[in-house]
Amino acid sequence: MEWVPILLGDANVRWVLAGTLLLGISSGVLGTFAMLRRRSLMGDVLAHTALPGVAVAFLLTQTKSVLPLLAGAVVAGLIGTWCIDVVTRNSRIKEDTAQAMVLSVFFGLGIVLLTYIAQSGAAGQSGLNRFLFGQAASLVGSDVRVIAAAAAVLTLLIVLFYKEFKVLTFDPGFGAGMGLNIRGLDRLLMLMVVVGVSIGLQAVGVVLMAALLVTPAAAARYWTDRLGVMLVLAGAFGGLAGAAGTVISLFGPRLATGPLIVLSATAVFLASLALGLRGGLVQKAWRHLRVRRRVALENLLRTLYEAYERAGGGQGASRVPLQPIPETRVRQEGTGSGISRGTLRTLERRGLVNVHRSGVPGGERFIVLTAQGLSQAQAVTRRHRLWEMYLMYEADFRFDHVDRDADDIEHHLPPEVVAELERRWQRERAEPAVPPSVHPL
Amino acid sequence: MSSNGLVNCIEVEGVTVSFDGRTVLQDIHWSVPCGSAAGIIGPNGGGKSTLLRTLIGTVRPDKGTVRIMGRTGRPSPGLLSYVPQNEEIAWHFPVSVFDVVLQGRLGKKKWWERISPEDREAAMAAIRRVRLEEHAFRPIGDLSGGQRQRALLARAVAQDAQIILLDEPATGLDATAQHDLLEILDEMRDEGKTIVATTHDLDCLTDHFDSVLCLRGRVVCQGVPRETLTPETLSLVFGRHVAVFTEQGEVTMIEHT
Repeated sequence: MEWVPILLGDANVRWVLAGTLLLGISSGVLGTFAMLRRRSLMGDVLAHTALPGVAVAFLLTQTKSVLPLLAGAVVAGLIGTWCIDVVTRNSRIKEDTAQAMVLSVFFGLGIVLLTYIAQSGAAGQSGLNRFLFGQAASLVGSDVRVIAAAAAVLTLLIVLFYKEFKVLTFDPGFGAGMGLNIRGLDRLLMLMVVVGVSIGLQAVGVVLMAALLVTPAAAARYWTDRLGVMLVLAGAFGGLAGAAGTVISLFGPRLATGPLIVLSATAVFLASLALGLRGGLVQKAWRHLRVRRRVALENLLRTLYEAYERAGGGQGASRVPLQPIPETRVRQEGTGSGISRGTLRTLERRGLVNVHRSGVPGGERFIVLTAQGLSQAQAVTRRHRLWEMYLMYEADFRFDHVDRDADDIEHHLPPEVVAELERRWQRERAEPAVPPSVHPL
Repeated sequence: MSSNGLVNCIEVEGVTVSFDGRTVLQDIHWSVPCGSAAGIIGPNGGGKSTLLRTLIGTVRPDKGTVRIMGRTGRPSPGLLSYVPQNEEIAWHFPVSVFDVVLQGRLGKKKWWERISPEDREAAMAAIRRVRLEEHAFRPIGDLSGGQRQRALLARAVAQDAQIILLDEPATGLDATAQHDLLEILDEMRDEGKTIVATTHDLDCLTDHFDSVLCLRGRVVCQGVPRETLTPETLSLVFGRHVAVFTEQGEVTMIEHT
């Protein structure tokens, strides 16, 4: 960790780091609402439309100080939004096409202007290219103060209008009916996105700014079902990405900051996609695995119970002793994907079956239900058959489809549904009875 | 009649609406008495949703006036509650049922006012009212179609709106969920709320609505459902691709394929 004091000892580095950190936070927070309002692409459009604004502002003022360039970016962004609005309202062109057109036209114009400036040899023109891919190292104290002020205002506005933006993004029609100025709020949000994108152009660049807006928000959605938490997380992820990208860029061989910040944000997103507690891949796989395991256990129990029935046991019969069944036979008669060794071992460990091994190595094994196993197997089979009967008589399933479809859902039947099924066939008895199978076993 | 002596809570006079030069609604005259339930039927594209949006003020008519509780212009805050069509709502939004219902309390607040404990109580009472208390803190996206519609009704209850406008609330619900929904709407009407709902289900109109408006770009018929919904008017509303049967006042519609 010896680089920490080196890093923070340099005043310039401190400014740069503070700038990208704040930028990341405000982008993440703002991006959450932009994403939820389905305006993710708008961020990209606004970033690209800002480029000619920056160029024109430089041509007019001949300085690279942050305020005029920022003003140019915001004005160009607003003109871009206005163009999209005019095109969609007065022609048959749909919004996405209008966005694509405005984005490329403005970006093309911006590139032409930048080339012109570079060739004109204007004093101090070098370095305007940083607006393409971003160069955080070029941020100086005055830049950071402007970025910080803008980021603070944007974040404050989000806090102030949190309730209203929530309604705007969830259900604008309801908001309008209730008397909220939905159109005004929508414009305010759009203006905030324009400003939020513009302050990031110098550090991240027009090409990649949209990613800093959307990626932290998308990552945050994998961790929470609450909007407030999502905003905080997206801000934190954005800030983390901004700072991490900057640090790598400062130590690396003069790499552009924008791509590094965006790659850092993407790393956070991929980690969230994999590990997130709200629909992350690992969680999904774990749930899937657990269900599959339970299905396998229940299917084996049912197979054993059905074998017991064939031996004369089961409903209405006097007590028939449980017979050990050869494993090979259980495999032949087994339902679903057959039985794995793991399934059998789990049942044995839970005390639901006993497995007797014949003396010969590699010889046949015999499985027998315990008393506890019998009652569980009975419950599982009963549920299966009630469900089969429901599918046949109520849902009009074809007889030969019943068993397979019952397999899919029966394992997920909640107790109240089982009770309801029982009520329908008046099979409520003191002892849990198992109705006969509707199809030949 | 409502407490302030009004007879009609909604009055639409000669309203014409057009988009891109295409007339969607033409010369609509219609009124809804306070404390009654009005149904709106008509083919897709017949202007049902547009009429509702004209009432909430997001669509401005080219001609004519809309009076809500006797007043023109933007309806005063919190007066109307609009429940849009299912697909217009971002169901995968990260909010709980409680959060959604709490949104109803914003109508009468200024933007600087925060949510108070009374607001929370009112939201919880509204949730109990539609029997969703078990699901109050679940994400709205986890609920079934019928539960979602009930959550939106709870939001209208929490808002304490006088007029509730619903755009196809019953579409996509199974029979039980539809029944539950209509029952709550009946109760709300009996408490003096004014209900307006667009629907495709003609059966429910006779039992649950006091009046019906048939829209096909213009008003084709309006009146008491039992008298208004005759085979003749219905084929006028829906065009010739529809066969209509009546059986002791019951109206059924079968679409030719």
